[in-house]
Amino acid sequence: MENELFASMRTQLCPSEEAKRTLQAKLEQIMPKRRRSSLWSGLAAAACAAFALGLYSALPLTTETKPHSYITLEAGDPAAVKSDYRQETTAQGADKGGEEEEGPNTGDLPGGAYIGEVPVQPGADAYQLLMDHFGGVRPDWYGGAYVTDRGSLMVLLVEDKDPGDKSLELEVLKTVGDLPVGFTSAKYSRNDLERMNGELLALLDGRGISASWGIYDDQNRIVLDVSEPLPDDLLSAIASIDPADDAILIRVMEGQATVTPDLMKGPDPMGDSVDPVPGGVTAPHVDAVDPEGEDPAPHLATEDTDDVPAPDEDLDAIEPYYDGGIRELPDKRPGKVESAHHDLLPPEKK
Amino acid sequence: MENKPLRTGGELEEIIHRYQNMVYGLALARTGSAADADDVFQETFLAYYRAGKTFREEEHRKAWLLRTALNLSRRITASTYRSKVVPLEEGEGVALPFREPEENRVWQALRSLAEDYRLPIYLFYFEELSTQEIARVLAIRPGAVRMRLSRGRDQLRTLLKGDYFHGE
Repeated sequence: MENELFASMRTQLCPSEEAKRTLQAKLEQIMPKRRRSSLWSGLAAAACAAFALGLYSALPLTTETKPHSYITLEAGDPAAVKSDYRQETTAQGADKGGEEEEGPNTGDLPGGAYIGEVPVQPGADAYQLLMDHFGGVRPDWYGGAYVTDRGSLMVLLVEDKDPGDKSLELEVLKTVGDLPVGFTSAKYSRNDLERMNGELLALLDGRGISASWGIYDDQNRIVLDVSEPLPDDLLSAIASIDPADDAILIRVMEGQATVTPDLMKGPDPMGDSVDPVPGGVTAPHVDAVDPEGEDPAPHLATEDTDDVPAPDEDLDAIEPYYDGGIRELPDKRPGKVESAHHDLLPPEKK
Repeated sequence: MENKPLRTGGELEEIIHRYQNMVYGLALARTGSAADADDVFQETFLAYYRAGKTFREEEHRKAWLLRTALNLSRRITASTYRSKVVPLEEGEGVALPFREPEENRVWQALRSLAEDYRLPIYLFYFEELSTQEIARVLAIRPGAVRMRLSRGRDQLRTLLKGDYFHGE
């Protein structure tokens, strides 16, 4: 009887119809316009686009493409790969809005303290599940993915989608199950970046330029490292690939021999080597190493240098040193400890 | 006009339909004013849409909505304007929200409780939340929830002469 009373009361506790209508109106105001677009507005937009396209094609293409921008890094400049592009929005397991997730231990403690190794395997597993879900054909909304410092997989979603539409997030969450995953918006899809990467390869191939480059998923762009400034014609050609000037970051590494001697492509960011298309982060140029004479030890000096002894040179220690070991200790404790002062006394004083 | 469903972590209209009574009821229990509760109802779902949150479980969505409704209710009742203007619903002779006199009697008794007891009682009996869930929404310890439930029940039994609210 008691429960029936409460249930009856609960059904009567409802907002007024006016409040519901007001809410609906407010939601329609703040929703993206394309969701509210009517058939007529869609047709009008299509007509405008067709007009603009026709006008563009009718105009003579006399303007020259502006060269692509680049940055110059001096030797030892740490301002390299990392950028402020990364903008994490929602992360599964990190929600503070009245919910407390018990996610995996990421090694982080409150206050920025840190312990131990961060488990990255869950993020890698989530990536693998996502790739399996795609089945080799990445959708256009997919901007890439990377494993965060916390060990979770951050999936980039192309930002032209409705921010209120969570169907893509739900699709990913359904795919990865309980594995840690977060989402962030991105401008370019992974397919776009790979297309640009392929075009970049075609541009640079055979021009004798020392360069290395790859797709950085966490920055949603391609990073191209060159040892000297590129000629203007090449920069213009790159600008035609990247008209917005934000999909390719060109870095001129002055005074650094960090770039590989040849054009190369790196592995996939997740270590997935099955992807044959150009892409992925830069890596050491393994082809440049002679397998016959390969020596795993790093050579810091040449053998001809006077400062470095030859391998068979007699290296007797000049200065004694103590390595911390304890040796030749007596088996028994001495029965009587006599002071050194006592030993120094003359026999008649003993 | 095209009438597409609104979406945010599911069909928004469906979410609103499912939780509107819960949000409104908590706001009404907290503010005591139907107009304020209507405002809280609107603001809660607007905040929900703007937040664009993704919830792994439905319980998390429910807790988020309750918590947001509670925060908005507190904001409304704490405003300077509200402190100087008493809504009509709180005056004498204003119609209570329920059809049956018995229901209105219970609601009046509930409304007469202090907020510390009223909200746990409402969430426990009307929304059927567990003490753990209530603790989460109210940001207090589960032990405190049990204590407030017990004391609130005692007061209600006194007010209602032993009717209703007989333990967990």
